Amino acid sequence: MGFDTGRAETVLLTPRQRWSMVFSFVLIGLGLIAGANLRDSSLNRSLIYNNVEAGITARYPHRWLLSETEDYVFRVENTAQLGFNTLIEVRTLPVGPDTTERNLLDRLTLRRSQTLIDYTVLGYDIYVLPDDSAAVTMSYSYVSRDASPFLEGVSAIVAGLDVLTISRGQAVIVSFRADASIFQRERATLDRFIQSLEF
Amino acid sequence: MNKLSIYVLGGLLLSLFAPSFGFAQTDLDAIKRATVFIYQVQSLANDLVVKCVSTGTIVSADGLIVTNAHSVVPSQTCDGETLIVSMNVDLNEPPVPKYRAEIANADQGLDIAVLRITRELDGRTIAAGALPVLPFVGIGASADLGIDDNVFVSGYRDIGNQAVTIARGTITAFISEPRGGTRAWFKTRAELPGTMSGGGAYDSLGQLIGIPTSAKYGRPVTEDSCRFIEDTTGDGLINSSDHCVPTGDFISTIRPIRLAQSLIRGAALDLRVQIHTVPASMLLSSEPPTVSRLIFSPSVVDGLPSTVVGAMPANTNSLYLFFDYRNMTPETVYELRVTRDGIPDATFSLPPVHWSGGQNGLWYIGSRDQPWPNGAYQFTLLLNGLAAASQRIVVGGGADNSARFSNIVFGLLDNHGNLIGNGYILPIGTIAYARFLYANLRDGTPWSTIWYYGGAEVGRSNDIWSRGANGSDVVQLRPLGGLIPGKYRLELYLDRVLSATSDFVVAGSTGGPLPAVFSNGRYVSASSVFDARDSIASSAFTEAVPSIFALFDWQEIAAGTDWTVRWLVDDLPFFESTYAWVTVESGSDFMLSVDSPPDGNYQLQLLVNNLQILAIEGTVGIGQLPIDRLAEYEGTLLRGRVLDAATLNGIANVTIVLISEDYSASEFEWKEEQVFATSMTDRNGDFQFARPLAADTPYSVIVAADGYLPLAADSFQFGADQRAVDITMELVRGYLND
Repeated sequence: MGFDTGRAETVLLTPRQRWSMVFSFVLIGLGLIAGANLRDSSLNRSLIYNNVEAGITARYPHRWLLSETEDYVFRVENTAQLGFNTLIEVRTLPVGPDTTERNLLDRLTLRRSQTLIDYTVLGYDIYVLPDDSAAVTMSYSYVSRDASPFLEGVSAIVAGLDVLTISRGQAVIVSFRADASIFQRERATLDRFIQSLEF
Repeated sequence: MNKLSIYVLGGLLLSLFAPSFGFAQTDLDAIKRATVFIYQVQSLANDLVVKCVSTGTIVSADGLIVTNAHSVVPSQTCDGETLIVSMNVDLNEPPVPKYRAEIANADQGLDIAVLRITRELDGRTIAAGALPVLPFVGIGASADLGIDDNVFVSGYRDIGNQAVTIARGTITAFISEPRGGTRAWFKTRAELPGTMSGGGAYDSLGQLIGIPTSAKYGRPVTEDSCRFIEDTTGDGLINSSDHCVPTGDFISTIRPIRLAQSLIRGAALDLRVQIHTVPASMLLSSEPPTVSRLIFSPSVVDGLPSTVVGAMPANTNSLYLFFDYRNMTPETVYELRVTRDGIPDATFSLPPVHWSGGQNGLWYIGSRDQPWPNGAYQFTLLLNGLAAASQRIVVGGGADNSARFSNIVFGLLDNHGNLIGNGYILPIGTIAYARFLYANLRDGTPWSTIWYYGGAEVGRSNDIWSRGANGSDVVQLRPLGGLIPGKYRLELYLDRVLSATSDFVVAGSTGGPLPAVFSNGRYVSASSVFDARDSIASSAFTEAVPSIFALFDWQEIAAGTDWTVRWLVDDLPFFESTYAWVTVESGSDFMLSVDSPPDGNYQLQLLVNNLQILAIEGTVGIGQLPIDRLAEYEGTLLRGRVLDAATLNGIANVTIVLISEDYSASEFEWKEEQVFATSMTDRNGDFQFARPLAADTPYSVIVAADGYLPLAADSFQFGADQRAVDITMELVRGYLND
C-alpha cells in the first residue's frame, strides 16, 4: 500500500478576493474605532453647570447627580459607581488679607477631622490650572461608611484631593473624592473637569 | 428626548409585594426596630467597662431615646460616664453597638431619662442633620388604658445575648402617688426581666404608653440580679472580684409615658432651664431615710387624706396609705409590700422604685376604682431593701357608721365669719383657721386638736364634743408672735384616736385670694446673668434672642418649703421640677433662664402646694413654635434587596435613587432637587431608605449600576396602613450605550 505525498496546489486569490479582504479588515478597523469613539463619547459626555451668583461654570459628566446646598456651590457624583460614589465638589470661602492657602486647607482639615473617620492628610502639592496659574492641592484619605445603622455596609477607603486657588477675594476649592482603589483611574475625570472650570 | 425613556427594561424583574405578614406583625417589627439596648460604660485606660445596662426606645427620628434614669445617670451604682446605644440590625439577632448618646433631659425621681444620639460609636461627633432618620414609635395616650387591657413590652431579656423580644401581659392595677396622680404607675403581670427596664410598653395600637421601671439597690449580689461579664480587675479571671453589672429583679411596674412628655419636649426643643439664684438641687441630708406615721384614708383631697380610718367596709374600691418621710433622695429605693391574710398581694404592692418625692414631707400610695377583696392587709414599707415601717388594716364587714372627722381645709375668716382662702396656703398673720366636717358624733365624746409647726407641737386643746352628730366646725391656731412662714399640720383626735389630719403652708404676705408669695414676675433678654438684672423687662421678643431670663421677687418663704417651677411653650410643659426652698425668706430678682429659645409663647408658672401663685408670660419671635419642631414622622418604610438576575446573589454598593412625586423616571434630570431619597445596598444587597415615604404618593425609582443595565420604574405608591414594604429588584448584566 503506497502513499502519494507532495505539496498541495497553491490557491491563488483573485484580485477581487484580495480587495474584499482588505475592505473587510478596513471595515473591522473602522468598526472598532467607531465603537471606541462611541464608548468614549458616551463616557465623556458632559453637561454644563453654570452658577451666575458664584460666577462658576464647568462641565461635568453626564448622568452624575447634581446637587447644590449652602455648604458648597455644587457637587456632582457618580451614583452608578459601585461602592463609594466618585464625586467632585466645588465650594468657595471668603479670604481675608492675611489668609493663606494653608490656612484654608488647615481649616478644612480641622472640620473634617470631626466628622470623617480616620481622616488623614497625605500631602500637599501644586496643580497647574489651564491658565498656567498654580493652585495648591491637598491629598487626603478617610474611611467612608454607610450611615444606616440597620445595614451591613462595608467601609470604603476614600482618597481625596482638594485643589485650592484664590481669585478675586475668594478661595475656590475643588474637592475630588473616589474609592482609593480607583482613584488614579478616576483622576482623569477631575482633570477634564478642571480644564472646563471657569470662575 | 430623554434617554431614560428608552431604557431597556426587558429581563428585569421588579417584584413588589405587600408585606406577607399582617399589619400587627408590621407594628411589632416597627416597635422592635425602635427598641435599643443601652450600655453605661466607664473609660478605664484604653478600655470601656460596662457599669449598667438598660433598654430604651427611640421616640423621634432624630435620635431621642427614652429610658430609665437610674441606669444612665451617673450614680453610686452606675458610675459610668459614656452611653453606648446598640440597635437591632437584624431583628432575630442581638443588638449591635452603633452610637454614643448623651443625657438630654432626666428626672431621677420619676426615673425617666431622655437621651440624644450625638456621636458615632468611635466617639466622632455626628454633625447636625447627619444622623439618618431612625425608626421610632408614636407616643400614645396612657390615660386611655383600663384594667385588663393588653400591654406589650419590648426589651431585652439578657445583657446583649438575645434578640429584642416582646412580652405580652395585661394591666392589673393603677397605683396612685402624689407625683403622677391617680396613675403614677401601671401594674402588669407580664414577665419582664430586669434588663427590660427602660424599654417600651405599648397598647394594642402599637403606641408607646409607658416605660417598664424597676430600681436596683445595693443588697447582696445574687446571680439573678447582677452579672459578672468582664474581667474588670485584669487578673485573667472573671469572678466575684470583678465589677458586676446590675440587672435588677423582675419588673411589674410601668411608668406612664405621660410623665415623660415634658422631658421629651424639653429635649426635642433643646431647652435647658438654669436656676441662677440658688442651687437647683436639694441640700441632701446625710441621715438615713425614714418613714413614720403610717395611716390609711379612703380618698385623697389635694394630696392630703380626707380622713383617717382603721378599717374599711366590704366592697371598698379606694384605699390609700399615707406616711411621713424624711431624708429621702432620688437615689433612695422604696418599696411597698402588701399582704392579704398573710399572702403577698402583687396587685397593690409596689416593687422597688426610686423615690420621686422631695426630701421631707407627706406621701401617699394607693389606688382607686379597683376592688379591694376582703381580708386583713399588712402594708410594709421598705427603704433601700430594709423594712422601715408597717401598718395593718382590715377590709370587710358592713358600712362604716363610726364617728369621724374629715376634709380639713385652712384659711382666714372674713367679716362674716366665712372661711376664705385656697385651703392649703396661708399668708403670715396672727390666726390660722381650719374648717372640718364631722359625722356620726355623739355629744360627750372626748376630742382634741394638736397643731404642729415644722414637726414640733405648737398647740393642743382637749374638749368634750357638744355640737351634734353631723356638720362642720372651725378651730384656730393663734401662736404667740403670729404665724411665721413654714409647714404646719393639724391633727384631730376622737377619743384619743387620730381621725383627721391635714397640712398647710404659711408663706407670703396677705395679697388677695392668694398669698403674695411671688411677685414682680418679668422676662428680660440678656447675654449673661450679670446683664440680666439691669435689662429692660419685655413680654415680647420679636427677634431671636440668645437667652431669656425670668425674674421674680419673693416674700416670706421658709427654708424647706416645697415650690414648683413649671415652664410651658405654646401651652405644653417642657420643664417641671419641685424644689425645697433654700434661700433667704424674702428677696428680689430670683432668676431662671433658658438658652436659645425657639419662637413660641412662653409661660413660667410658680406653684406652692400645687397652687399656682404666679405666671409670667412672654413671646419670642412669631409667638408660636415652628410647625415642624414637634411634628411626628409618618409614612412607609421602604426597604428591600437588589439581586443579580443571573446568580440571584445580592449586589453590594448599588445606589438606589428614589425620585420625588413631582417627576417620573423619564423626567429625571439627575438633579438632587428631584430626589426624594437615596440608599446604598450593603454587602448582602440589602437597602433601606432612611426617610419614610408619604402615603398615597407616587414615587419613581432609578437604579444605575456600572456593569448592569439600568432599571427605572414609576408609580411606587403605598397606603397609609403600610408601615413597611419590602421590594426585590433584579439587575441584568450588560452595558447600555447611549
